[in-house]
Amino acid sequence: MNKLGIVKIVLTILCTLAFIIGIYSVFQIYVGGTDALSMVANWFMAQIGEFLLFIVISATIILLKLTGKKNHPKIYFTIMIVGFIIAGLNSGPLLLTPVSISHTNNEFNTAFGENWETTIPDDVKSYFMPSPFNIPQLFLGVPHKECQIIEDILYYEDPDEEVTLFFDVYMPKEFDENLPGNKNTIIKIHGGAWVGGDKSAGNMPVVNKYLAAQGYVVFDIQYGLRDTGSLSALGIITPENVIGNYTFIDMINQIGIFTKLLEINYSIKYNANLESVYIMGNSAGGHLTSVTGFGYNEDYFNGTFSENLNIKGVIPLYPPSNVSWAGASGFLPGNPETDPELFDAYSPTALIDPNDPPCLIYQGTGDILVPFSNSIEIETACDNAGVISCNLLFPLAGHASDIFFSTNFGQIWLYYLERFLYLTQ
Amino acid sequence: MKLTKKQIKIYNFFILLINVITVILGIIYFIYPIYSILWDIFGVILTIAWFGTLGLILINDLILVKTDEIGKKINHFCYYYLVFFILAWIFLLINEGISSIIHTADIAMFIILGLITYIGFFGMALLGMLLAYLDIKNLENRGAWNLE
Repeated sequence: MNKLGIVKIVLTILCTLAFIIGIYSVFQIYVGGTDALSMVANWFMAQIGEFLLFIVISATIILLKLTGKKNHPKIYFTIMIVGFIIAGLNSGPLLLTPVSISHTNNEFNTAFGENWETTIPDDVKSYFMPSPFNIPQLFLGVPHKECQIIEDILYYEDPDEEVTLFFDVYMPKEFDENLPGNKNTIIKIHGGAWVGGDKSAGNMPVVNKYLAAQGYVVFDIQYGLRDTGSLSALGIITPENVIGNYTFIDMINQIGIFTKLLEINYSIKYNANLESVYIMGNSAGGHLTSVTGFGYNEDYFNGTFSENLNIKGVIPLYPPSNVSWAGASGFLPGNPETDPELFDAYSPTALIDPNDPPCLIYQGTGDILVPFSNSIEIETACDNAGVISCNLLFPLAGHASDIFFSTNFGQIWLYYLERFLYLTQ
Repeated sequence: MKLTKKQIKIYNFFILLINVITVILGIIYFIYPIYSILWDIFGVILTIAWFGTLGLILINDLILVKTDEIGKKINHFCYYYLVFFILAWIFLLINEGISSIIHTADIAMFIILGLITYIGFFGMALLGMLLAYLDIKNLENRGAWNLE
């Protein structure tokens, strides 16, 4: 076989591989599986669909050129139709961007009134994204915002479990009083099914930097995890020092300890405004965020948290709504029948009452790990209690679909997040 | 219906022009990446440039005489473009993914990500320009094209 023949075979194999990846992506975006690989794929596929669109189109054209219209017309048109359908379906999440924006706008109109945008002064808007989505940012990215970062500050030690917990703090480069963040505090809690994950690289650091540059003081914290004895998909980013044998009770207690230290020490040291505090976290961290934010004023948690934080907002991303969710079993002692009060205390939907702060939720409708019914339940509980809530539902987005900062999901989320923080401060 | 030389010439000039605009706006975007309405326009231009160049390759495939020496060369160049196009999108995807999880002063990583983004993005535009230029330059060569 000559050199050209070998090149043709290699190209055919690579392009067929691109086809297979494209088909797998379509399956994950529109159907989804329940096996471990599908769970991981669910995080990424909707986010990279627009990239696969171009890769699959290019692979299709290469295959068309190799096949030749005159030589094999049937194969030629089959490749053309299949290729363009796969490419088109991969672009579904991107094409639905206007739907996401429209839905989110409606949520904000309902929560803050039809004229909410006009209540934000122009000088404040100058720090914000002017539009919820633009294409260059999606494909070419954006540089990170500059801010001060202090890493690995120890706040908790548990000699019995050999666990030490740290946090990072993100602050503006200079505390300019014109910045919209106004030194307001954001406590960020990472995800990872309560058994894995970490602060910093595992907790959307680029968002922390973005918010810090706007004048917020962002505390990105670790909490003690449950040792499952097996290496999860998150194992590679989970540090040894956070693995213990912890329950939800311990995790919330550790977050509570952080809030107390924040009050007596860190707020002064890092210029954090405790009159306006937000709790924000994704997935398992979204659950802990909701328990902390909605449980902050509950009698059940008396003494758990600092009493001097003014919680202005709860921001859970793809959060489990209650502890009856399958992935949350085994993290509390006993069972709901014998100890309903305990189980209610760690179920966000059971904690929501009229005194709770506004809530902003991020959720993908294609999430197979924490189905979007969870966020609907939290939103409904907020509505029933008269608590302001915005549930940002992203069509076809999977779990953790905000990981890639500048995708269509990430852009829309950030656009409305910065406005929510300003409107509720 | 066969395409005419004039139609192909106009389309190639359009692809050449839109890729030039893409490069210019791309340079401005990377130097001054502050949000502006210009980026919404840039987004539309980018999309047209990418799809338009792929369209040019499809058209070339239909009208090039691949047994002719020049036709063969342009046909090979189309392959190079398509392979680079796939690589470029992989580069852009890598940038998108990794830049979302790095946060500290990892200068080396930022430089690598910047480089692969520039190579991917400008490479696509420059090869697109080159392809359109090759078409225009060789359009007078009757043997290379199956045109009306």
